Amino acid sequence: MKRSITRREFIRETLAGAGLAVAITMTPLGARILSAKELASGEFAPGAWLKITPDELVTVYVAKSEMGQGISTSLPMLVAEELEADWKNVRFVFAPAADQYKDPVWGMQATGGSTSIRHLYEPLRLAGAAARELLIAAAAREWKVSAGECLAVNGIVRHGTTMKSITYGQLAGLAADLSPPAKPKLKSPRDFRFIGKDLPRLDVLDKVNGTAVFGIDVTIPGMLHAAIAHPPAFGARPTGYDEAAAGKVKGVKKVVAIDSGVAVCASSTAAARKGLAALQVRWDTGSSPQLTDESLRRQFRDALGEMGLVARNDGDVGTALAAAKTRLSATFELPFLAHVTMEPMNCT
Amino acid sequence: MLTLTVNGKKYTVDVPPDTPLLWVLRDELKLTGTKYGCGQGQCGACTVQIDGKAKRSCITKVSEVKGKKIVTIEGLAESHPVKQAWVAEQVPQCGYCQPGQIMQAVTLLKEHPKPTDSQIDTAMAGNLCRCGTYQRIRKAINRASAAGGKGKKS
Repeated sequence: MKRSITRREFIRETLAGAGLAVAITMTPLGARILSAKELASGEFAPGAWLKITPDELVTVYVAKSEMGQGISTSLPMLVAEELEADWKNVRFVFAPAADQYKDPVWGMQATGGSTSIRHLYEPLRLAGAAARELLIAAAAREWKVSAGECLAVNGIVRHGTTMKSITYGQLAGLAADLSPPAKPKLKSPRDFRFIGKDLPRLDVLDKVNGTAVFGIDVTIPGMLHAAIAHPPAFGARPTGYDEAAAGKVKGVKKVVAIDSGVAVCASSTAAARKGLAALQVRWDTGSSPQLTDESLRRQFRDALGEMGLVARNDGDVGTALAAAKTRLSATFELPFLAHVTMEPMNCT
Repeated sequence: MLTLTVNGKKYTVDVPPDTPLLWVLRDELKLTGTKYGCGQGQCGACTVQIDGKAKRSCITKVSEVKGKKIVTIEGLAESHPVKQAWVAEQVPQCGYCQPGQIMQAVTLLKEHPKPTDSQIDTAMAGNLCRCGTYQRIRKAINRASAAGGKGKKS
């Protein structure tokens, strides 16, 4: 059962308990790392962007939608890079719908325009770097040495002179009470281990096993399933449907008229679809009855007879064509191609 | 009431006999690895194995699978050579079509352990991938074939 959790539960879960959580809040002046005291005060509602737990796992909260573009791997890479994490211990969790996880440039939660890396490049690197400096500070305090003598590499902090070492998992609890640095130091790109490299994607196993949760896979206890009749033409409205016939289908609970059509709500998808078929919706001709596949085709064919926009003009085409021994002519027609994904549109 | 055998387990469900197997798997048994793409047997996202043969579960009535062995993507061990090949070649992009692709590929390799390009084309043609991972699917099938193809059920 995949139950959605409340925002409060999520924050409590991620920021409480054993381990180190780094939260950043977005301000007009940029990302600001919150101290443990500020977190405890409850005044801020930060987004926890990463958490390190005693089991060595580094969990990165991904506040963007993974659609195959790979951000569930590349966003954790930004954190792992600065954190100097061991990549095999890095995991991701999708952040919930919450103000804390708004995109810092847009001020809302959305994924698009090829902006995920651009918008989160700085905040996520800062969060990783802050965690790295906190872990080093905790180790230095533990060993009673200066932080400058300690090095963080691949999930371990090492003391340069004595070669003592301690893992991030062991340090996480010890670092939780330290104040994070206001301006964490970022790595130079020439020292990058992950950014710019082809790492195995973190979401592949779930997708191969069939355990990845797509929108259509979300279930909530007691939920109903709805099937929707969409208009066959722009702006078309239902002129009538057989609500009683839909109601007779076992499992159908309610028929709901919506702005763009009619929906049948039922206890299962199969019942909803069967109820929809029983509705036998009749439609009016809509707002643009003259707009058909054929009218569009005719419009485009007619447009071929007009001068289009000149993209390039090399040499003297008129003369070359006139003088050509053989002239080849062809018309290519493409149907309307929708952006449709294999997963049908759905929501919960 | 109907009894089904899915991934080696017996389930009893209370659904009308003409219910598509796809929705029984997803809504009743909560096995959401098998996906809905078109509902018309045209895209392959709903592919499962019924008595060892690849079938589109969206157009298979649950009454038709009484007494038959159903295997879904969840029924293949993670160590299955086809799953392992899919991971090694990093095949999925969005991943939605992949359970269906894998179930179809598993059946192909059972019938043709060393498939030719043409046999791969024919077997896999009914599994659509809007992200266009076809070349990686082919690579993974060939990789699994080289590794021995068949595997244990989980």
